Amino acid sequence: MDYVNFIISTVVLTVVALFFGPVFLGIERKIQARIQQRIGPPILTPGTWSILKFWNKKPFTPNSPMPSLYHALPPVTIVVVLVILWLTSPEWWGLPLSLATLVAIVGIMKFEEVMYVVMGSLSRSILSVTMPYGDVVKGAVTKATIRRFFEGQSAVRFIKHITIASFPIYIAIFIPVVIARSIFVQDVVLYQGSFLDLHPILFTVPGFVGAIVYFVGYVAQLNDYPFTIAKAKGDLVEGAPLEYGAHARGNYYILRGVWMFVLSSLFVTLFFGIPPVVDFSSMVGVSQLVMHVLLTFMLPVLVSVLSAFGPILTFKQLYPVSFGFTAIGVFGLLLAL
Amino acid sequence: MFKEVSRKNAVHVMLVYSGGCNGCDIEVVNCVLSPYYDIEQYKVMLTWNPREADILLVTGPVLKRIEPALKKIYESIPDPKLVAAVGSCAINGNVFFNLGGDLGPSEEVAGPLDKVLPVAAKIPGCPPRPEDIISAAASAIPILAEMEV
Amino acid sequence: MEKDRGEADVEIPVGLVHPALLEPYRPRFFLQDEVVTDCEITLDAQHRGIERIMEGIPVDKCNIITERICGICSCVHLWNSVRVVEKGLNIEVPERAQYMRVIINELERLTSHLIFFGHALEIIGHETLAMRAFIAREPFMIMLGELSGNRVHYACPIIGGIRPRCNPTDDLCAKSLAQLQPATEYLKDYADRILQDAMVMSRIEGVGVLTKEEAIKYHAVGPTARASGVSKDWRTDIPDFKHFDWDVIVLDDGDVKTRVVQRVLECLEMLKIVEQGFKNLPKGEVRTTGWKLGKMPITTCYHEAPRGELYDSYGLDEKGNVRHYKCRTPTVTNLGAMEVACLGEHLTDAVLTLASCDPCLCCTNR
Ligand code: SF4
Repeated sequence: MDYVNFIISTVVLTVVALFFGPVFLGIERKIQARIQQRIGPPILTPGTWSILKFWNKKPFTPNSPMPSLYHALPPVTIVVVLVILWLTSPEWWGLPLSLATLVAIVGIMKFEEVMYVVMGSLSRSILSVTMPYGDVVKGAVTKATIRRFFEGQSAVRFIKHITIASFPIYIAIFIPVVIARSIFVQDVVLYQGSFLDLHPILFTVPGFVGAIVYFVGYVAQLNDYPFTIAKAKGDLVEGAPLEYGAHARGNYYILRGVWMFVLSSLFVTLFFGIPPVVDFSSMVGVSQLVMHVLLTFMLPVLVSVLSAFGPILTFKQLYPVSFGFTAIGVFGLLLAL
Repeated sequence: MFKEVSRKNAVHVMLVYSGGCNGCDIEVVNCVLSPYYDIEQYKVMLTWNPREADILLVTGPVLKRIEPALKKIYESIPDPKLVAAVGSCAINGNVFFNLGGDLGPSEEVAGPLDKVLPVAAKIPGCPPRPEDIISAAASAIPILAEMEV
Repeated sequence: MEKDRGEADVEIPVGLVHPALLEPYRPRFFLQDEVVTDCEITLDAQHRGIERIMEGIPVDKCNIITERICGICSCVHLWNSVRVVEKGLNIEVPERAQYMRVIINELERLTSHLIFFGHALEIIGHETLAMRAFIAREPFMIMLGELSGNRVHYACPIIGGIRPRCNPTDDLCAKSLAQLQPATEYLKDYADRILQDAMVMSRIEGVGVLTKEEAIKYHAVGPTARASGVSKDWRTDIPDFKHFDWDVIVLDDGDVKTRVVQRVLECLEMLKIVEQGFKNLPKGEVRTTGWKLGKMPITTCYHEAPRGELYDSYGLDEKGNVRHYKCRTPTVTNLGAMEVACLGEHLTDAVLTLASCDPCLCCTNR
């Protein structure tokens, strides 16, 4: 019986994430469009329909030293990212793995970040070096020994980005830990009371500070405007994912959507104390899942407002912004003690 | 699964300047970026990455210097794909291809677009109005949706 | 002080097809880590050989083709080409035609500057403000369409005046004047909004500095030079602009922000000119007749295109055919200056710096 529940809950959570992730992409675009005073695409177009369309295109071999690894990256990362979601659900707490801790979650998040570095170094888009155009001719300046692709530069930037811009989210994740005095997700959730008698950490002072810092870290994790230097449209076009086309691009879109959903869900679990419970036996269980999903909409909506008004921050601005919010996070930690 | 519906509901276009006068290019960008026209409400999105694109909008008479790059970009677009010629330059070469004084017409032109790529849609005008571009994109979508592959 | 073009470990070639360049050209950035130590721009991609087409065709036809040099600043090419004949053969232009030429030209300059704002903000990554630039631009495009019949190629000046279809009725003038009011308000609000946005300002302030010495050395022209403290505007030398009351805007700092601010202030001057034009538009003929085409020695004219100095020169043979047509547009030298200005910047800022001279490659390559 337990196993059945376990499998059902895992599958249901996966389906929810795969469905709502792409919808978030559309919602983000729609809100931005409204801020830009235009009608904008229908909500399903940028995410869901685009993904289905890409899946229906003819597969091809990308320009890459290791095409299959390059194409395998998004699906693998989707699964890895989904583990975060699963770990926060009560069914997984009981596993004798002791993995349902925030330390493990932070470790998994690192995987997602590093994946972009691998992605960048494996891709060779036609848009930069291989563009058939005679620019290295007699008389032309050639100083450098390497001609680097956009994606290579993107990989370099991702390394820097990982080092600086992920501080805020880590600090923010540990604020609930300090408040609940435990690294187990279970304890953090139970600390905030049962569903019918909630005292969310969000409504305490350190919790609120943590939520703000989490939000900034969230944007940085998603590489959304304004933290999009590693994929800046202004110079790198799109950066690491440039070579994804057809079904692989569909997978990449899903990865972005799911990552957005998973981080939002983690926020709801940690700061509202509502874990993604799959329990169809009682009214409370169902409404808990519905509530959870509804609350996950909060962060994407806020992100789209921020990204509609933020230019790309170069490293010159990124360092102070990131360190500033890290400092706020540390302040929150101190408050929580 | 959902092949036709999804293709009708999400279209990515890529814009390549192949050496015209910029008039067409600015009008295309105007369709996309200006909230006044806003092509995204018709489910058409602009991209700069050939791997993401479905429709290739080409403006200009296709100069010899740009021809190889244009072909390479066309090859990078995964099937199914369409090419639309925007403006009289791309359709017939305009003044650069057809007109010349004592020295004859320009030798830099590799010919109107159909000599280089298979063209599915032609949008006439010098430059075409944004409304024309939007309606052409809208009429190209069903062709794209019904393509094999 | 001469910036030194240092050593580099990697090269990043950008283009031909790229969201920040729009038009096909190919900058190659030489980087140390992420800092640009040298930059080389290859420009020839868009060479269409317009000057070659012109050899030996009737001058009216030639004038129309000059418009196809550029789709952003089409009017000024046509006007300057027409001025060459008018100067060489001493053809008078009626005052109403002078006014209309100025009005169309300044409206076009406005749309051109607004594209620049849109493009620069798009590179910075601020899509919302980029789109607002296009909202602000649309009324002027509509106005141009109504005044001349085409949104981009207005074909307004002809030898000895303007094309009769560009001669507005009084109603149209009043209507345009009424349209101008809200458009001006919007533009002013928009400019304020950009200049007060702290995030945008932090991206463009102090980036890509072009000092006055460098600007003179590399012969930067137009708004790029005027933002670096070089006061030169060919419009002050053109008699048609003498009817209007306006100022040349010169600022000193020479960074990207100054180039944006300079253009904002210039836009306000243009609006002033257009408003005066519609209000004081004199009555009368719009073209002189009775002149004859004939042999003309090679004559040269300068004009101020939206991006800077525009040069046209040609002669006519006995039949009135064009000989030795030559045109030189501002972007060549501006991009040369930008090659220097972007040294020492982060790659993202270097691309922005290149774009901040508002390069127009279709003019440059012709
Ligand atoms: S068709 Fe006309 S507007 Fe378009 S690029 Fe050619 S000359 Fe320019």
